Amino acid sequence: MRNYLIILLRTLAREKLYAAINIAGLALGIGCATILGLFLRNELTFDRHHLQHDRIYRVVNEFTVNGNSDRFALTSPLLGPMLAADNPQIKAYVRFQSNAPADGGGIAIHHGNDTYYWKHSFIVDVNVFDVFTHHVIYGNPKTALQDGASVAVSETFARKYFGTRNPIGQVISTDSGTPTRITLVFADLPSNTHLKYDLLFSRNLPALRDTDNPELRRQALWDAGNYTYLLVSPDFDPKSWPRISDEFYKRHMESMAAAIHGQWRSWLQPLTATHFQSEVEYDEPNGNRIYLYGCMAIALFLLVTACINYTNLATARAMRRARSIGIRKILGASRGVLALQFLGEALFFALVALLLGTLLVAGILHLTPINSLLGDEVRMDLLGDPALLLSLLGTGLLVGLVSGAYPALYLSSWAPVAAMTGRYVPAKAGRRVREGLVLLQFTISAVVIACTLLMYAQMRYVANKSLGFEKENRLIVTLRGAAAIEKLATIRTELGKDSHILGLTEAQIMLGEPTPVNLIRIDDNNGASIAASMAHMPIGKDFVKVMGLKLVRGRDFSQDLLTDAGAGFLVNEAMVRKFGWTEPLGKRIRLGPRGGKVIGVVEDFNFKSLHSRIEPFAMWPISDDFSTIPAAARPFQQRLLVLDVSGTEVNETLEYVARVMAKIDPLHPFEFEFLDRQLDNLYKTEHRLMQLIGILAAVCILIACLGLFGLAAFTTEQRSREIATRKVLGASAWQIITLLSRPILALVLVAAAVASVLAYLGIGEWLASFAYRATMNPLLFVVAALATAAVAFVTVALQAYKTASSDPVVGLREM
Amino acid sequence: MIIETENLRKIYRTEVVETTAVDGINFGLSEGQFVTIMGPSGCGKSTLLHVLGLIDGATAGSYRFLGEDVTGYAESKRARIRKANIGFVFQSFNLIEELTVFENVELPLLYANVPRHERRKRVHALLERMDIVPRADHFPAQLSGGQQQRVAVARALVNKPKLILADEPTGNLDSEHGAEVMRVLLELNKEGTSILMVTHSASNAAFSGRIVSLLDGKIVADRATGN
Repeated sequence: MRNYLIILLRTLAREKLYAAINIAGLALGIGCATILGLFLRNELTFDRHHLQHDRIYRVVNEFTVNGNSDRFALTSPLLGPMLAADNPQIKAYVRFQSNAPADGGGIAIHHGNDTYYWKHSFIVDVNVFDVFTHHVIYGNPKTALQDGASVAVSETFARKYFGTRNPIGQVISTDSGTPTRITLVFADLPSNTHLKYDLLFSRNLPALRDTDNPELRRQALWDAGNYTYLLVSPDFDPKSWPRISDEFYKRHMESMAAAIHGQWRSWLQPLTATHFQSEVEYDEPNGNRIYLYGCMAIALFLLVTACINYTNLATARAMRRARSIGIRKILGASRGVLALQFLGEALFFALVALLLGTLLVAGILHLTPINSLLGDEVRMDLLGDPALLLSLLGTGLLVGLVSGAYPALYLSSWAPVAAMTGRYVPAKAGRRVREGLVLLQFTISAVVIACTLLMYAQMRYVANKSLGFEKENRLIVTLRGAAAIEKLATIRTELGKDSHILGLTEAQIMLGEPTPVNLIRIDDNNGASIAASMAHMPIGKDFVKVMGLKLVRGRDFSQDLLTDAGAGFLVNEAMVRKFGWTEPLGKRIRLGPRGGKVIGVVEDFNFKSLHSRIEPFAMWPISDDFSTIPAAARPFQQRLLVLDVSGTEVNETLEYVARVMAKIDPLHPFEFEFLDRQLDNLYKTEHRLMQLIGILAAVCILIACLGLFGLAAFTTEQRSREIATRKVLGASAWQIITLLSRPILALVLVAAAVASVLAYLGIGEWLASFAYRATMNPLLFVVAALATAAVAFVTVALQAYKTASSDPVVGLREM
Repeated sequence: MIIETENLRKIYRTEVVETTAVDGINFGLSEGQFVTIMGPSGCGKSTLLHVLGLIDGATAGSYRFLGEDVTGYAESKRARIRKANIGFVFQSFNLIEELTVFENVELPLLYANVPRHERRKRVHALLERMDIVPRADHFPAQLSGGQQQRVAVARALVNKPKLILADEPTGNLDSEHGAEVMRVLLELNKEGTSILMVTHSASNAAFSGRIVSLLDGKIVADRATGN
């Protein structure tokens, strides 16, 4: 063994280029595959840090009204307690009700002069710490939320306001001004947690107590506003849930369902699976299995490409080793001994590459923003994670075995005398295998390049597609509290003084955000009232004009017509089509207490992301009259001002708006966002994925080119005599380069053709997640093919040029 | 008898051409003999040597080595017999470039699973005999042709073979070093090692006790030299 190692090190010292190419290729492949592997592990182990994770389920449900179904992650607040009362196998329930504004701006938390916005804030049942596992830093989890005016906060929250001090007992408040005491601090949740939060307010408040009134309870079951989690007994069988759900529905909901032509059903999601269950609305951001499969495939591709490099280079340099192999066989080495020697070499390379690859991973994780690209907090802690260390070692060994298997079998198979005397002619099969491996490598690279280009084309389409409304130069400013909203007239006047502000409107939520979906009663085409569910949003004055919506029938809301304020609806064309209205104007809609008629129809516009088709949608006039709402609710009223700004001197405009808002509402820091940037966030995941795949495509092709470079080096060396002869006979350098490049280019073009088909099939699955897709331009595949061929050509040409431009006598000397 | 062949043939076939390199050879080698095979280039002498040395297989005919019929043996079986009984000395030395002199000579003992202590003892003894102990840690590229061939001879002897096959052992050496190598071979033969040598050189052939002449793969003459 020692002897073999010494010989190997000496061989490597003599063949530095070969060693460098192999180790670099393997290290890159192992390093990138490791990063992807860490990401995959993170994604696949969501919520497993909760000790009782195998007994926790989330209830999700589907509401069907008049044949239209909507699936929500949110349920009625009464669902948990009523299910638990009916079923002894349900040991506990925990409800999470978000108290952050629906527009995603975050709840304002005040402490002294500090005010910050927190997006992840919930009101929860007091037993949350009994069901879910938290690393508690300060406080008693058993009693922390017993008092209704108490809150548990994350470490990040505590640090933001209190630095390193213990914040237990400190008082914070929301916009209501009601003091709430911090009673517990928990460590920040791991990144692989589906439901993230920084604040957990106690639900133990009189206003939130569950009603005992049977009629109100029945009605409340048709609302949805809480995530409901159940802790079940160890012997619970999830297969029994359909029966449980059905019995619940029949006992508590069926009577009301008949009146609204509705139906309801529920099912359970295991806690550890919620991250990937994306078929429900109003859910937290989900993982995507397609991305996972894509990452797995790419990790595998990278390793395969690196292994292929090693295999190809090892067999290509066989001619150099032929004599040594022949002599060893003559001197008595058995095939098995030689095969083990070559396998050992491969393992050595793999383990050195593993070491370098691990250092590469550590460097990338610490020095680059890779985690923002992955959208996840990926960490590598080898000392604290023995399973990871073993996995890495296992990967290294596997890579070594896979890379070395074919060279070991191939090189040890030669007849001794032929190898030793140089009469060895590589079997066609050996060359074919190498060509096949190069083909595979470049097919993989071309697939990844093609996928990147296709994704880029789709994202460009998404960025440029007209959404049916104006998104450029639309500044969104958050207005918090009824007091500020009631000054809207003043705000309009003041902002109107700036010539860069061309228009102003208001809304409660912004286009692109999830819109409420409620049960309504609506006229069908014959005027009969039917039940349905409808997406809707309230809008302010000039919304249609400022957002650039196009009226196709009827009129916009008028401030002069009092009837509009309480009784008008604007609908989209999709609504008209859905209900088959031949005359939409005048059709009646009843949305809760609000009843009115359709006064106008707007052209369809994408009020959701381009992942979804345009659905029926209604708009109704927002009311800024807060005279009827309780005083306690006034601070929590919120509006979004949408300003049409000119696009020039934007910073100055922002500063002016900030000054105006500071005078109107000195309590809250100025909050703003540009609509186009906000809409881009809808596709954050896709952008990240595209960048990631682009980087991986570059790595794939780098590894393939490393191998190709090495192969080209050996090929030109092998053919040096032939090249010298051709030069003597008059061949130019360019002719030599094309002679050597032609076989590779032929392979690469075949690879590109195969890759085009594979990419087309592979990307189809991802494109299916978009309701609106770019047309797949065949030119993209041609570009991918040409790009791959160009890179391969340059790689081979670089090496070929060196030989082609050298003195012919160098090659002839070997004759 | 160490070697007995009957109608031995070696035919090389390609897609287009069939070449008979060894054509119906009947040959015998007794223990202690020093035999030279001579002939013009392309007559099949090296091929015959390779077949007799069990580093290549015959196409037809029969071959008995030390009384064992080795005709048709697979490479693994041939290797087993070879490493125990035959040492090889080649024209171009065929030392392994990445091994030192010591390691080159030691190599056959490694493949024969000889224990470390024994290996060191035997290698040292041979390096002394070949007068190359000071070069033990040098690589082949650092040696002269004569020194390399002495290393090759040491390697051929380290497993105490019954037979040494030498294919143009002085072909790449000057006359002085060539004579030196021939003296070593003669010494070995006097000690009882059988030697089968291929050479162009009549002066080298004169060291042997019998000369077999080959032409077009056939034995055309077989005579004793009187040595």
